[in-house]
Amino acid sequence: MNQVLIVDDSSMARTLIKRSLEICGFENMEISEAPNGKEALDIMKNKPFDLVFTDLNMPVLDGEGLLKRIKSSPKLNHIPVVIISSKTNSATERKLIADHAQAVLSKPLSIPELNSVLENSLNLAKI
Amino acid sequence: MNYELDQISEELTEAISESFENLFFADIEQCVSVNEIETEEEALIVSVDTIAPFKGKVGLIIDKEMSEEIVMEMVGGDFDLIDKEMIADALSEIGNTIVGRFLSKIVPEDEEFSLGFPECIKWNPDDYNYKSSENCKLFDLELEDKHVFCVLNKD
Repeated sequence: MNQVLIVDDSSMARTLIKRSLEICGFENMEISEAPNGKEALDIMKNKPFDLVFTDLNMPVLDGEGLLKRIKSSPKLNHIPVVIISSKTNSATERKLIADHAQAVLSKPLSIPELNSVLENSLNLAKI
Repeated sequence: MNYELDQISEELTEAISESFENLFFADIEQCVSVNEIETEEEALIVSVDTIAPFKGKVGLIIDKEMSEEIVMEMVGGDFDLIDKEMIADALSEIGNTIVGRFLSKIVPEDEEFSLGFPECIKWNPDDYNYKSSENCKLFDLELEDKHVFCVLNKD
């Protein structure tokens, strides 16, 4: 069972990401949710994840901060992190990719794009 | 760069069209400029301020029945579970997505853009009195025999 964590301060945005994952038709996926980066890290202490989707702009600990914390942790740095945001430009995307984000997706999510990211990310997580 | 509304309106309607299609699988069949917003239905307005590269506002006016249908399509599930808060959250997410996409289309590749928080409230024409002008563009978007109105306003 693939463990996926969705991090966004908007419960509606989390619902929409879950819905998009359902539409992608990937089976064997258990989804957990967190409203910010800090709570995401707390959840990750106790549960192994195969993939994290995170928004950028969130209170307490934002998506960029969460990405950096995950990638600097020897226990977590193997987990692919996908950024989903409505506020990215090319420079931000390049910076996030340089910080080892798996992918940067713009809202609204496109199903083919999400499918491709899921295939690549979940394969990577299994290596 | 000078962001004249006439020159960026197409990017806004494109952003709306792409967002509607991806968020709730609705195709906009027609988009026309109008001089006033004429709706007699009970409606909601979701508005998002644009902060950079220009100060202004984008608003979407959607009637109540259509709002409920949109939320059903977006989140799936039972009609009985849809409440006012869920509708406001969903329309806010739509507003946020559209304006983020719109601004990302009009700014040069490496330039920053900024938008405010979405606000979703009951539409009352007397509170807004939008009329088409050099600094205010109004659009009537038709989808499946229903209409969504859009306001693009520059301060």
